[in-house]
Amino acid sequence: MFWPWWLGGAALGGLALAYWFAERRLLGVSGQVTGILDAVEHPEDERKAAAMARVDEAALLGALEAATAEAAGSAAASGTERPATSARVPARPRTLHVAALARAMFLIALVLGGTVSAALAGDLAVRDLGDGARRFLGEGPGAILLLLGGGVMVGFGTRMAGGCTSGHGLCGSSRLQPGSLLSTATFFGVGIAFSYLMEWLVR
Amino acid sequence: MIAASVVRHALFGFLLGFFLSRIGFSDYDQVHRMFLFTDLRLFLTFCAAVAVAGIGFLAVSRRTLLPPRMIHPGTLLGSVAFGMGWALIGACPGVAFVQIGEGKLAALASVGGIVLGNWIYGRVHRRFFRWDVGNCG
Repeated sequence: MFWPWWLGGAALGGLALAYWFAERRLLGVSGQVTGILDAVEHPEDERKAAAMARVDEAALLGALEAATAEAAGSAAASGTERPATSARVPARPRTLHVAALARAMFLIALVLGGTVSAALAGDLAVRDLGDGARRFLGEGPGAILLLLGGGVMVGFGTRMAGGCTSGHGLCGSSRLQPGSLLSTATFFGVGIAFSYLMEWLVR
Repeated sequence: MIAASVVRHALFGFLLGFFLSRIGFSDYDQVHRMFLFTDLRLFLTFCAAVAVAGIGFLAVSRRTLLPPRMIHPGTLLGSVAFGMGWALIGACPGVAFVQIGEGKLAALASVGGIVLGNWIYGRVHRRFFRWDVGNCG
């Protein structure tokens, strides 16, 4: 009923790459939440960033190139070697600024993706989180409080670490970035330890 | 080009939600069995995804310098909190949204907590900390 590991892995890995090629940014879910909250808390900064992003990028790059050529030209005139162009150039974000609206649409579409998936599988219905959740969280207001509290830990922790399963786990550790490797090893390791603790507590 | 960006983000969000649901990452029991090593499918899925992304990013990184993700004082502590929360609620940030879409409405509390926790950290960080946590997306 669920996809085999190779299909799921190809889909998720391919999606992370497709997002980079389309946006020149790295995919990250917790970052979308952070971006929306920042925009809501500082609407004037959001407006400024949006206005900056509307500046014609072609004109901007043209001006930069002209300025670079001028500087290189004067250097060449004084007999200095033109510096060899760097082999690797930093990624220029295709979109300088992701509007809060785009971030919100991303999260809403995440919900819709779950809906369509469940509908195609024939199990779209209002339901609880399943047997395990009932066993560990109980039912009723207590379960809601535990989900809320656990959610706070997830939200707090992912922003503190600067990424979650997508940003650090998928897009960072795959590039062997030290912060992402430490983060991914830690949240998986702690998840394992805590799950065994949960088993022990409700045994 | 905000309109185009909105459409692209809607498409990526939809695909990510669909994939996570089809894979079973939004299933509490599947996630719990992954953490207990009683079912390795989700672990293998994650490793395969990292391998696919890694090969692609490696090819890209020959010409482009991708954003570095360095260790900072929040990396360890934040990931510890995230790991505990993930094991408890059976959802990482993206998955909580997917669960709502599947009809598991209790995940509304998870998403509420995730947004609240993210907001609280923003406040705490501005008040007490100096380092740059970095951000993705």
